[in-house]
Amino acid sequence: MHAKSERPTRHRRSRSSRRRNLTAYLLLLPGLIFYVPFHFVPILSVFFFSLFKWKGYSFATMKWNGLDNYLALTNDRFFWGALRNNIKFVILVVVVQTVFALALALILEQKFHLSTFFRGVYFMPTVLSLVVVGILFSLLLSPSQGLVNMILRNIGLENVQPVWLGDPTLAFYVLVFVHIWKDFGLSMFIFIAGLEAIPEELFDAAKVDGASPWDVIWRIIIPLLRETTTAVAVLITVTCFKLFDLVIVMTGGGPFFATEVLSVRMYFQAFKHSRMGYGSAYAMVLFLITFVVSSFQFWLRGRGEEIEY
Amino acid sequence: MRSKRLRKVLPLFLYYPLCLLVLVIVAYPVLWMLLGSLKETWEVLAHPFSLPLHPTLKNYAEAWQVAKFGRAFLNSVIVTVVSIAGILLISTMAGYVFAKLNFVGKTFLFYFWLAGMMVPPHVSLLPNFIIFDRLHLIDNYLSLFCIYFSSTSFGVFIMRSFFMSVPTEILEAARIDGCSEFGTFWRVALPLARGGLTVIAIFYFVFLWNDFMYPLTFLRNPALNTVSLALMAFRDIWAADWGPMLAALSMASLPPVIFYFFFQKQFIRGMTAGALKG
Repeated sequence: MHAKSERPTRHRRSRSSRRRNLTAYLLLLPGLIFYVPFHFVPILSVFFFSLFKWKGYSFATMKWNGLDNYLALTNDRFFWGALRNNIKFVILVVVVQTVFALALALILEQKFHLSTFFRGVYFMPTVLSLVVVGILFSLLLSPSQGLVNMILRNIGLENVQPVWLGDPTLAFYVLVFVHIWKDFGLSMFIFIAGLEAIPEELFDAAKVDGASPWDVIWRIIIPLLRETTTAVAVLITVTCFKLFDLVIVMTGGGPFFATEVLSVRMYFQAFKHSRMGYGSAYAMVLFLITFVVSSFQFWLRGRGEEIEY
Repeated sequence: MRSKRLRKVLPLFLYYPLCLLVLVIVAYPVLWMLLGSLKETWEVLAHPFSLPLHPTLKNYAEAWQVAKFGRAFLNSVIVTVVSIAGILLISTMAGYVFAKLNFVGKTFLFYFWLAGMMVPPHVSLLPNFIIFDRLHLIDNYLSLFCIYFSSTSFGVFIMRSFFMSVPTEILEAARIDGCSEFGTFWRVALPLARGGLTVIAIFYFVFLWNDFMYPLTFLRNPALNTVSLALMAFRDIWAADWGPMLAALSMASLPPVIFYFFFQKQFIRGMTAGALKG
């Protein structure tokens, strides 16, 4: 992981090495010209912006108000609602998707007829856009014309015709389902890679010892996959906090704010109510959360649990 | 090394029903979309499960022309192609530098650049909007290019690891033979790190083609709509017309899906790498 010098030090001050220094900076320049102003500076300035009362987009309307935006956040029940939705979403998706992906990986890691085909298809939703997926499922779940309710009618459940995206509780679980539908293939492949790294001998030994499948799963596979599982869970957590497209496309945060999450609220504060300062405070909360999750991941890697695929 | 080893301990009989069930849940919505796009709207609603009785491309023509989806499709192609070209160029150059050259501030610059991956794009969205607003780049693809050219952390990281596997001796030999610094990079090292180009091209293709948040924020003029924006507009205006709607959805999905079925291995590799490193 660490940049190590590959050239002996005695060359360091030679002419050719100075020229190489220059080449290095020249080759880095195009990237940094974009990275610094459009990626790095914005991350810094969002904290700065969050310290202002700022209505509209012109600098003239900025008024310093210190930490007031953050105080306002703590009194904003919609902020807490969005945060609660975020956390509920993360927990549900992490648990369900990890278990589901692991189960499928255990099955599909083995070669059997059509197993490669299954794998290939399961991964396909990952390449689709969330806008396509969101609209597609909105059509499928449309109360009167949608396929899902039609199936319910056909199997004799004429009375069970939920308004999927119009019901606060259901809408939330629909988003959870659609998110997992799109994303589980990726987790599954990470698990498959982890499984393939387990040495063959362990399975032979288990067989010789007469271990039951259950024993093999619980005493060999699960413990050995601990690091992979952590990696998958962290990855899902980060992806979940990026939840935005699906909400905008499918529910717009509704019904009754049931599916509003931090990123969506931030967007609405900034671009619907043009409250840039307050929106930036939301962005800072998002930043802090992802920062904590990423640090956790780095800390794991730093402990020598780096997994290479 | 994939083997039948788990079968030594796990019974087979449960696999097929479970795998088929998941297959239906995953593939059927997409299949329904593709088949429905070949039906007329009344047929989509009346016979949702059947194959198209009279397959027609009418929906595609209607979406492409009447709903101006063609314009959006071409816009997306332009944005995606230009952005990928720029990202590849930036990532290869920087990746090479970080892997093979020594200079003052190398470690700092590398981690400085890498840190960009740690922060979700939403966080910097508001300042980005302000910057482009001040530069009068709202409603201008330059804003998208600037933002995409700045999202190179993952590309740099991947190219660096590919260039690290190129033996330094080969580069030294090229230099001794009189190759210029740039020539060593372009003609000797780059061809040996081709694999990395595929990985990042695929990863960024999926990200750029499907991106929604940046176009939504930086573009207002419908003439500049990318595919994602056009789909949203389409849904609001043509809500009842499911035929053309499904055709538009299919057109938006076909480029990544077709590429995926041709380059499955590279896709899975690129996307898992992106997920784990990014």
